Amino acid sequence: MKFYITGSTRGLGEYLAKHFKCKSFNKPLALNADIEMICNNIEAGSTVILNAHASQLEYVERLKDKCNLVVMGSIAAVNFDPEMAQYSKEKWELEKTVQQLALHNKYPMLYLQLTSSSYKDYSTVARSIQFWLDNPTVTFIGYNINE
Amino acid sequence: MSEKKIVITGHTGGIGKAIYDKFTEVSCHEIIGMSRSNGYDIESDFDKVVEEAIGAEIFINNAYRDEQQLKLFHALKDKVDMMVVMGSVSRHYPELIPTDYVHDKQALAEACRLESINPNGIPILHLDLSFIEGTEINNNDPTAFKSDYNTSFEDIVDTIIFWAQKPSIRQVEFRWKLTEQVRAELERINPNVDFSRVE
Repeated sequence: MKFYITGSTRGLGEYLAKHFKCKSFNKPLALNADIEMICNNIEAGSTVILNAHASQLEYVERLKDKCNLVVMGSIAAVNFDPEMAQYSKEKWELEKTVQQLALHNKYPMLYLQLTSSSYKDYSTVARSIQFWLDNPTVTFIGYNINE
Repeated sequence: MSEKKIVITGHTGGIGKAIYDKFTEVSCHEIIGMSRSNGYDIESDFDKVVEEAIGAEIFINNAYRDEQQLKLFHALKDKVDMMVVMGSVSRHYPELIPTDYVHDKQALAEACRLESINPNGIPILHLDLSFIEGTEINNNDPTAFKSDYNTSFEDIVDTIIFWAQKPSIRQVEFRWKLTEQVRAELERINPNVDFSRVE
């Protein structure tokens, strides 16, 4: 199976890109401006890890009928952070949309509700994705805040 | 592995039996099943269940009976090393399934969420389960129904084993489907049901 990832230049995305041998979309492509070109270049039936926050919901809508999706969410979706109000709101909308789509979608979807500690625990996130690949009836994995 | 025990309620049928059988097969721990049939009714024998579960490495809070599952959660959340709580994905849809069961599962999920942000809390895995294969339906309960799309025992057992190795996970949800059968059953339970949230 082919893997793709958005946002792979550092941190968790870089780790996952190496772990799953993902094809990445880096400069000169821009995740917001080149969304159509990027989506058109993704092979049907592959697995896409939507790691970058940029246009995440739009990528979900465009790819849901074409690929298996892993969507990186945040605990900020349910623990509203007033200092990042827009981010929290977008993650809330993303979480609700993916949870609903995941129920009936032809292709499996996994929503990861990451916390600041789990975001740094790259191997646990990679193992979670591998677990989902083996058990695609799972639709959501949330992590502890205090680790 | 240590000689500590793993305790599970409701171990004689359904997913409880599947977990009990698997852990008995693969674990070096003592596996203790607690069910009505062996004198551990989570309502009438509540104190005995709590007393004998204290100190468990993993307590699998599986059996459901009204608010008893939540009471067991509170009684044992700081007296066992880790806990698995069997919830229900139906708790997301109280307007679809307006039953005491759904409200109980909502309360249970919220208790688990609050405990997950307790700095001194134990690792807890809350499973939002969908319809499970082989579930026996209580024919005396008009709100109970079967689905033709089910999660397998194997997927649930695998999830618990995965979590036991990585207890930083706190919640896992499983897929369900609004099949024609499920739709018909939900309409039977609630003739005014609005499916717009899940279609």
